[in-house]
Amino acid sequence: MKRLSLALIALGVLAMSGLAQPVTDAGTLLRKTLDAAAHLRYTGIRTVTLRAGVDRQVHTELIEKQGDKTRVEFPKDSPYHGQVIVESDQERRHFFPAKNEIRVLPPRREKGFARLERMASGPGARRRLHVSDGGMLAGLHTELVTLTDPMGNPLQKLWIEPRSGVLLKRELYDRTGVLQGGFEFTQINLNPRIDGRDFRLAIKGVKVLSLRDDLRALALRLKLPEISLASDAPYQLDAVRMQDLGGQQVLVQQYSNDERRFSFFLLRGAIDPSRLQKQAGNLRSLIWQKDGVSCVLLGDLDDTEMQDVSRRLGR
Amino acid sequence: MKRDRILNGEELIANVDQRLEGAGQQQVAKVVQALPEETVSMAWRSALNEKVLLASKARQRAKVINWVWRPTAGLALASALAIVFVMRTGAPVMSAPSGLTSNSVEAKLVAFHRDSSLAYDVSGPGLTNTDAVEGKADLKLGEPNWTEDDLSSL
Repeated sequence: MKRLSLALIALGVLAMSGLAQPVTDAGTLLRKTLDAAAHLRYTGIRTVTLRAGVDRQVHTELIEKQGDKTRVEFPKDSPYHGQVIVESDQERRHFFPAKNEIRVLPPRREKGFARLERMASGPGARRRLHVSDGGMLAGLHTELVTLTDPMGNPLQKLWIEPRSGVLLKRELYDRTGVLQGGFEFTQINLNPRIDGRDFRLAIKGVKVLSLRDDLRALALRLKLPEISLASDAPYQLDAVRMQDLGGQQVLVQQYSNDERRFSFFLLRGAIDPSRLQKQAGNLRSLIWQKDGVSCVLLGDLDDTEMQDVSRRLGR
Repeated sequence: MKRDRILNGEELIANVDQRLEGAGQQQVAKVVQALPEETVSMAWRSALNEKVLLASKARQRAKVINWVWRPTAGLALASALAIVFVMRTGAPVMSAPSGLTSNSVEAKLVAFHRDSSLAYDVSGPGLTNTDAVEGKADLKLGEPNWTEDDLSSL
């Protein structure tokens, strides 16, 4: 009887320690989360924090997800209320009610998340992953995956509900440990009633614009040449915008593929290459002039890719 | 043999007196007495004093100059060394986060790229801060604004 009691106590202790310890390793957990993203169904509310210069901007999103389809709306007290974003594996549609426009963009999905996995597990990866107990978030138990540099400084933290693989919270840090941005679900329903029609965004009478349309219009407005990568290039055009940078109107194009991301700037003023590279740090930059316009490439491309992209841009 | 004899004290004194009163000694005494008597001049002493005074003043001036200029020169040398050291190592210059170091266009291009890349990584299918800038001035037009009452009345 005494032996049986001791055995039961030992089993109890083991079970308790098993509950406290994470059940999966970081790589497996990340893989599960990536795979789950393709078939998860949930509705939820998340707060997103983004850093812009010295400021941090926080907004709330209402998320509805069914597999690779996502719908994002904004609560009534949000400055973005009325805007709707619907994304599939084919495209992203962003509705701006004031302009009565729908912008058709490439899908973003969890590209950044996939980049994270490659950073941590790719050949010669110098970063490390480890997993620990993440506590409770939005009523669910989580495991915390931390990506660190070789010295152990955190670069990213991911709170994952291990059974479903849903990513409930994410934080990104800079090299000095300052929080740069992140999101956190405050509510989530993993068993929601979803109407498939929620993921259609087609409104009669609304102007539908593509990024190429934006590029053409902005280049015309800024009297800048319409230089861009062809649509069959190995990089996808993610965004086009006009930006006031240091008192100059700059036409910005942003491109990416699964591994790289870069910006292409067109502006009238002169750019100092050494000053730019000094500011860029570990990013690569390339500047050339064309018809009195400064063309600036900036991103995480290597030298060969930089040359290839600049050639495709008519350097 | 004569040299070998040792003279006693009295004999020695008598011998010295005898020699002093000799003709040669008397002649030397006369020559010395015939020498013209010179009066002592203090002009050289005055000149020397003036020279000493001048030298003293010059030394005092040099002392003052040294007191002022030596520390100044030392300080200047130390500063020059510090500047060279700082410029070579760059250690005391703290680098700020991206976008904060400078207001130059180059810094703003880099900051914009970093911020927007980060926003893409964070947001996934959601809204990025560059989307937000675009949409901030957005106003709502013709929105039906259905309420729960409208819906329940159907």
